[in-house]
Amino acid sequence: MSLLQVEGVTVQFGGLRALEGVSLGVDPGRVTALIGPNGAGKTTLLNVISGVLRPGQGRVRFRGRDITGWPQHRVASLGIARTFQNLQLFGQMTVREHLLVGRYRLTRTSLLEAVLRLPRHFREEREGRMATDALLARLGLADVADWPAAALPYGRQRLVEVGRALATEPSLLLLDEPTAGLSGGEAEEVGQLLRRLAGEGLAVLLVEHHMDLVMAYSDWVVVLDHGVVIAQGPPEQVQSDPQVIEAYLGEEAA
Amino acid sequence: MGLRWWGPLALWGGVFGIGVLLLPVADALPFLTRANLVVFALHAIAAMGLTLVMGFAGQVSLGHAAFYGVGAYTSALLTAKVDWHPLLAMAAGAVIAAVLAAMLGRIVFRLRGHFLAMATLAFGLVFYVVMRSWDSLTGGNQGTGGIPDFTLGRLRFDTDTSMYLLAWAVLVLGLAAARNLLASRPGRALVAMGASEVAAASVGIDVVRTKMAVFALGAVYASVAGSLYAHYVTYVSPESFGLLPSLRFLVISTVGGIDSVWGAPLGSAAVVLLTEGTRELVPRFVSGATGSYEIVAYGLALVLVLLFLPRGLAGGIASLVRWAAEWLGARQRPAPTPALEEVELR
Repeated sequence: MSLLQVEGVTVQFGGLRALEGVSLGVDPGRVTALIGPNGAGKTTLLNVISGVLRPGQGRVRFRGRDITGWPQHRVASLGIARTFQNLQLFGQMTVREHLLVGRYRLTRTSLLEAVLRLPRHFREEREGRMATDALLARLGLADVADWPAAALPYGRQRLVEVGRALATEPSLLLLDEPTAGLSGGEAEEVGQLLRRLAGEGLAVLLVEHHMDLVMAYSDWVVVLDHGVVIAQGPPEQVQSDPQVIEAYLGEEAA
Repeated sequence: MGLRWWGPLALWGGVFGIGVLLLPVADALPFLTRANLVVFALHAIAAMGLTLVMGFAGQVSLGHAAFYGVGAYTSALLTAKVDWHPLLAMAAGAVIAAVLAAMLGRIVFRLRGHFLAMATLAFGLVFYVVMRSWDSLTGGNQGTGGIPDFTLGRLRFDTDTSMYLLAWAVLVLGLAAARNLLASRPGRALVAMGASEVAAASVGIDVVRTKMAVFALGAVYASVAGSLYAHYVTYVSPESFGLLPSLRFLVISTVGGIDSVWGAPLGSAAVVLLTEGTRELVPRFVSGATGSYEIVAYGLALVLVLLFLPRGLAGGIASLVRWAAEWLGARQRPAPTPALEEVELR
């Protein structure tokens, strides 16, 4: 039994089948890549897992628990974090504040405790500062900690999204094209970061377009095409699968 | 503990001092009285609650005056009829307002879109009609009188000046509370939710509950202001809590700027100046002008602000400060400096 178990998930948008009977497992300590041509249903699957979408059929299990159709915030509070393909940053907030918001599920300060500045507020702010300092340093964002995230170059904004997700101290991290729009060097760094995170026992589910990155940094590859899983296995095996090559031919040629 | 309290004490002591300085200013201006200052402070407190709702829950309320009315009527009835202490009655009003807001929010925030505007419009009208019709309790159209002065221990607030200072002190407390809130876990959750609901939910923030909480908090601000109002005028009637007063709060918040806690006091000052100014000036130019031309002034102010200062007076002032800082060559740091951003949000 994997940490995350997706079983026969089907999603229909009007007449369009976005996902059809999709099953897969994601394990701790591994980077699982989800690939496929545009419109294959990759983001839709992340939305189902993270509670943005309720599937028409099928189940999502986390640590064996059925979480199908749970609202987003409850899924998140179990330790499932995600990033967004189109950046979802918090307006004028600084980089550090983004990470502090990420610690929401780990902290308890209530409205009243905050307004009255009771001890828990100060204690959690202090803990939050230490935890975010460490994470900022790890992501190479320490020098821009007090900048508004919106003022950063695109590549570093993507890192802020990853940082916000990591600040929740998740056991499962869902990444939706974290390297889109990044330079080759920046993408490499993200890949290495994911390897280190997996090395620490995190389960990573990565939606990715960069094939080189997927082949170099993932342990397991799941290929979606038109909402159906057409292949899965270790990268080198998937790479030579004729069905996968066919699904990708149209895109590669275009 | 010592040190962490000195900074805030100095800041809020200073803000209170500004309020005291407004007394001679009002005396010097021919069209302003100290009574206008009381109205300014009371409306600023209530509008600050609306600012939180609009700025963070991203929802427009068209019934904010009803929560102002909940505080006013609760205080009026509990102090005039059953002799409660004003402070206790004020607390009761705040609790009732918060519960009503939470109930309304619970229904409305599950839906997407601007349903709160419609729901609060309806809530405001229902409140107005109930206050008018429930003769035995509220005195109907005649209203309820005989409300005693507000007292705190041996302090009695029975003049314009003392009432203004009390209201201003409450306003300063409200500002401090809002700023404390924003620089904390629940406040950051509010700001996050205002910017991206899907991302806020992705870190575990319960968007529906958070919106309910901020809506209830906004209602508490309005209710506290309403309680003070009841003790100030010693008489309440439904007219003060209908649609027009709700629109007035909306104008105050919007003109002041909804993404800053300083917006409400700035907006309230602007609206008082505008109302009293037009009342003084219009009859000089238009002979025989009577009635509610201040509504025209509200409308004009709103349109001008939306056109030229989309982030309200507070946003405009923040931009001015930033330009001034750049002019003075304070460009040691790259990009927008966080120190200046503080002016806008915290």
